[in-house]
Amino acid sequence: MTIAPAASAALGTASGTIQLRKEKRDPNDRAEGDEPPGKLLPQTLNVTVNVWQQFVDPNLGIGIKFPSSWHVQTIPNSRGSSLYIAENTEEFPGKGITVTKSPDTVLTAVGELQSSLQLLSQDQRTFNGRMWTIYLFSEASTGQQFIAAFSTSPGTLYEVGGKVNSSVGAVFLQVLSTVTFP
Amino acid sequence: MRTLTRVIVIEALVICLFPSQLLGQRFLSFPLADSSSPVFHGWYYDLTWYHGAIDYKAAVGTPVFASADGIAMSSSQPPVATKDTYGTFVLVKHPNGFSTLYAHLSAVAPGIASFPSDQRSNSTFGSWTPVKRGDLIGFVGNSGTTYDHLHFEAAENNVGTYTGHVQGRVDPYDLNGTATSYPPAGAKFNGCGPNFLWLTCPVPSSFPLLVISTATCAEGGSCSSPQGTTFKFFGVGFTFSGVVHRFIQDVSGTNTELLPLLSADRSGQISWSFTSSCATVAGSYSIFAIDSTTGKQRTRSRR
Repeated sequence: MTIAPAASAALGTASGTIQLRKEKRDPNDRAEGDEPPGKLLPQTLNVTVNVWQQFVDPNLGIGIKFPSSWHVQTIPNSRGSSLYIAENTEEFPGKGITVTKSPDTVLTAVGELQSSLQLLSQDQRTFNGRMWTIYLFSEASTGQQFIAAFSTSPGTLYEVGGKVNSSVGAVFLQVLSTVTFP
Repeated sequence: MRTLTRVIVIEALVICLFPSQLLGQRFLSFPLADSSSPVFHGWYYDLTWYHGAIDYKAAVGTPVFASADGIAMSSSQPPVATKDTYGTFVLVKHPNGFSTLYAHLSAVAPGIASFPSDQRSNSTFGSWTPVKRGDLIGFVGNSGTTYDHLHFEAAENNVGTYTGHVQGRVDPYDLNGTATSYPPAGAKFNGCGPNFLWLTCPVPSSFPLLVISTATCAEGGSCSSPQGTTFKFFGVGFTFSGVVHRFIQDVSGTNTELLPLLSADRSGQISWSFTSSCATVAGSYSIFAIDSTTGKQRTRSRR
């Protein structure tokens, strides 16, 4: 089953219930014991649809989707510029997702991270035909865990990162799966 | 009067330009007494993760001072299981449209207006507490976090409220990097960005220090050593006939420009001295000079 919100659908979360109704069909196909045509089946399915907003950044050359209750801002980065996507209500900074484009290689970037962080695990995922290598790090002195995903194009490294033990942790992979390179 | 002899060769360059249009935004003093307090996290935790503040390592109970004149209020952000909130904080609204926030405090200084958590974004400025640069406003702690440090933020904040602050954060060093980019000990520190907010760009820890110990003043208004010491310096590599600014950074981190302005000779050298007095507070002072033509700093001290 595919649910496709209209392009004009309001951003936000919509909740509902799906219930199937048995349709009429050729009486010859009806077996003994079948529910009569037109009757609602008793089983229901609760469905929640999150209609996210999309942001396309021509400087970074990416498109990304995120929850309607989040906002995006461009923040300066000594390597160029970054996007920072966080909940509208964020007060203490740093709980959102940071997207950065740099000329580094994955090896260089991860090596630099490992100079101050402990690498806990590594995984690979493919979203929209793009391979992402996902690393989990821990900062020994604070216990803070960070997640970072890297994907490369010739001469360009894209990094998507966030704190694990924050509101970001639950949706990080969902947001990452929406990244496109238009 | 004893003259202290020291020869320190400074190789590091600090680029601190003084474009006149930015001087009005250079207003911050260091919020801790020890201006050599190391930076634990910079504008980024690492370049993959935004932080939006500067974390200074400091022990619980270390006094925190207002970085500039303004009006102050204290409040707190409600605790969460992940322990990543401001905890107890002081917000100072400055008259130039900026604000500073000092977070994770263990206690707020007596007299600072206090508001309950649900009123942390209040705009009843008339009930906030006037503070002067260097006034005690609180003490370092670990409220809202897992380790002892001062979380320091600056923001462009014409509204002046807490909400205006969290929406306008800027890096006071204009470096936008990780901890290694920041003074005093950052290996990659090579001066501030052009829009830094400090009174003067902090200098690396390798710069000359004047160490003035406890007062031992002789009778008759003259000081015996160590207070009353004359420190003499010369600088090389400055622009011939260009203007050279000289600064001394005191124990509270405040930079004071020494007058008159100097001008380098044909060999690019300047020479000057600083004499402490009985009234000079004991402690460590940094000293540095800046070539206003190039924005670079090269100093060598001597007898």
